[in-house]
Amino acid sequence: MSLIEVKDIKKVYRLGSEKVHALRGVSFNIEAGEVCVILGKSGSGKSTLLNMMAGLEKPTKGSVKIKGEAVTKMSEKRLAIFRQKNVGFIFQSYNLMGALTALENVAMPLTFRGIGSKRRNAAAKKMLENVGLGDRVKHKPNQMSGGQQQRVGIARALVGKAEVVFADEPTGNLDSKTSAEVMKLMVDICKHNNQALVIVTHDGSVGQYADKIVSILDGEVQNIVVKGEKKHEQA
Amino acid sequence: MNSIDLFLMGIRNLWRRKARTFLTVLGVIIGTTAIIVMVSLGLGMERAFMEQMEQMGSLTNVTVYKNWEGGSDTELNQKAIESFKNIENVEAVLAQKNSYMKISTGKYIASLGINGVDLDALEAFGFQTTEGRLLEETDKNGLLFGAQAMNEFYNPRKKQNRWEQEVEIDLLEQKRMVITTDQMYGEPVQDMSGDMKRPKPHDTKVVGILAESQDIRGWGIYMDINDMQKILETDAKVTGQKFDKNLVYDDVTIKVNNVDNVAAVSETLKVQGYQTWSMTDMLEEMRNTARTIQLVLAGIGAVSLFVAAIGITNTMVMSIYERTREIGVMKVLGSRLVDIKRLFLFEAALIGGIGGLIGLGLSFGVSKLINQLGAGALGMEGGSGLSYIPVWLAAAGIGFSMLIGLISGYYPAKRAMNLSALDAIRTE
Ligand SMILES: Nc1ncnc2c1ncn2[C@@H]1O[C@H](COP(=O)(O)OP(=O)(O)O)[C@@H](O)[C@H]1O
Ligand SMILES: [Mg+2]
Repeated sequence: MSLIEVKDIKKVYRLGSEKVHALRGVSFNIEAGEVCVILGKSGSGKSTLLNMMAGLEKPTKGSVKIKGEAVTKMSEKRLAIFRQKNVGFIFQSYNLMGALTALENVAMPLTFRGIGSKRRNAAAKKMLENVGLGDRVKHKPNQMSGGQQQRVGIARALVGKAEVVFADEPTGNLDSKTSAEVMKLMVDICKHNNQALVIVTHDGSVGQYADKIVSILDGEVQNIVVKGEKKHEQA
Repeated sequence: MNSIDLFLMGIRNLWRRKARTFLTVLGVIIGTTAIIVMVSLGLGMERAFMEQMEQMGSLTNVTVYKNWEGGSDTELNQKAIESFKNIENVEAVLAQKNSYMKISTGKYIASLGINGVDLDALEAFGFQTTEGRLLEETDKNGLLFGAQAMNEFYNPRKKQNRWEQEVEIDLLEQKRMVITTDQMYGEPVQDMSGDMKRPKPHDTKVVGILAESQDIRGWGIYMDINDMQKILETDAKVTGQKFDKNLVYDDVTIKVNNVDNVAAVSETLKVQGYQTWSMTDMLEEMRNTARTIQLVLAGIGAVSLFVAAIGITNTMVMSIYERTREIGVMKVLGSRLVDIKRLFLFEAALIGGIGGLIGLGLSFGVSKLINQLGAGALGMEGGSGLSYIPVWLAAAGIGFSMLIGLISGYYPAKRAMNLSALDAIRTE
């Protein structure tokens, strides 16, 4: 059994009388500790796919199973608890809480788990050190650069040691040099902690960090490349 | 998410929007103050009623009347009085027969209504003298004078109108005082029309002056009923008028041992056919009136608290609009749905609670001010005041404002909880 099993996902949006086929039957698996890059140009359906995997949106058809549990069938309530335990999330636009310090932002997922302030602050501090922001603990988001903010976002996604981490265009708002730093950091920590990392991007250069690249075009999987294996062409 | 973190987060969120939070809290302060002060006025009024009633006379007294509509025999005779004494919880019965007589001392005379009473009942009914003593069996034709009753004396030979004469006599020290049923006695102008025989006056003496009270007894003059009957009988013989040996009282007051039993005693009497009246009847009426006024006042206060409640809801809904993205992020990061709901409810309740607390403080201030101004304006020195905030009202005030907060926060909280995380984070 793979950690994540995506099976024949279809998603149709209705825009008035028009139907938009965002996903037309997507299937693939992701293994534990694997870095998977979902690659495709804008509008190809990557974000839609990621949202289905994270349980933020229900597919029109098909299922996503994480650790054998069908997130596509869960109630909002169960999903919240499931996410709390198993899922980390990195946003393109960081989405840090402006009123909170870097430390408090990173500690937030632990707060939701009901972990006491001492333990969660210690864990958050350590995580910030891991992403190279040990000296920015007390800083508010608006006192940091984009790259630094995204590193706080990464620390926040990883502090809970979730088995699955999703990232939607994590470097989309960063310049190429910073992008490379951030990507490397993300991949390193996930590898170190054996966390599966699912990255959605339109930037082909991100592929170099991947164990598996799922290329998407117009809502369909074009091909899946697994490092060390040869290309699997899809029909 | 544990409660302390939730509280801290809520407080922080409110603090982040200080100005708006303050204005919303201000609304609650005004609402709470309005409702507490309004109710306190109603309560103060009720309390003033009670105090007034207590001054007016004993709440444990029941006045009994004969049933004028006929029906059963409700003559207030000796037999009836004895039966009243045997009713459960009755402490004493004061039966009075009223008779209009003339009293004369020196050059002064007075026309007065005399109350013939059973001497045993006097003490039980709280008769007290400021001078002299109460009546005893051995006092032949002795009188008890109400403090205000002595103003009735006048000198018939003076040109001055009797009402304008200021007479000061020490009733206890008069050498010879007489009493008679003859209304012509002592008057300088005699009615010569009839040649009706005139009774001789009877010697009498004032043995005590009654303590002044707002009660009717301040103007009353009391005499042993047996002495009165004898005078009436003797005089009737002379004038040839009819005299009914069978004693019938005009006025009967029953003293009940406890206020709570007054209603039961009244009921017993009514069943027997008598008509009754007691201060407690009036008290009940007054209380009902007070309640109605309280409700109206509370209603006025409630309107402002209702406006405050809308203010809270508005603030929380605005807050959701502003925090949509934040709520979405929280959800994606694994906050439970109830945590979001609790957070918003807590924030709303906190606005209510803080407003309530400050409002309560303000209410005490306003209440004090009202009482001071009121005391000055109405000359109610030392009175217990127009506004009265008992502990339960204070507690209810805060509880109610928090409840209002919770209720106003319920819809926004629910809305925040049901917000789609995806839509929320998509809002770029
Ligand atoms: N909520 C929506 N309603 C209608 N159409 C949508 C919605 N979300 C996405 N789409 C459409 O689905 C397609 C895929 O979108 P998306 O997954 O965001 O692409 P990508 O992330 O690869 O740029 C696009 O054509 C987009 O317009
Ligand atoms: Mg996208």
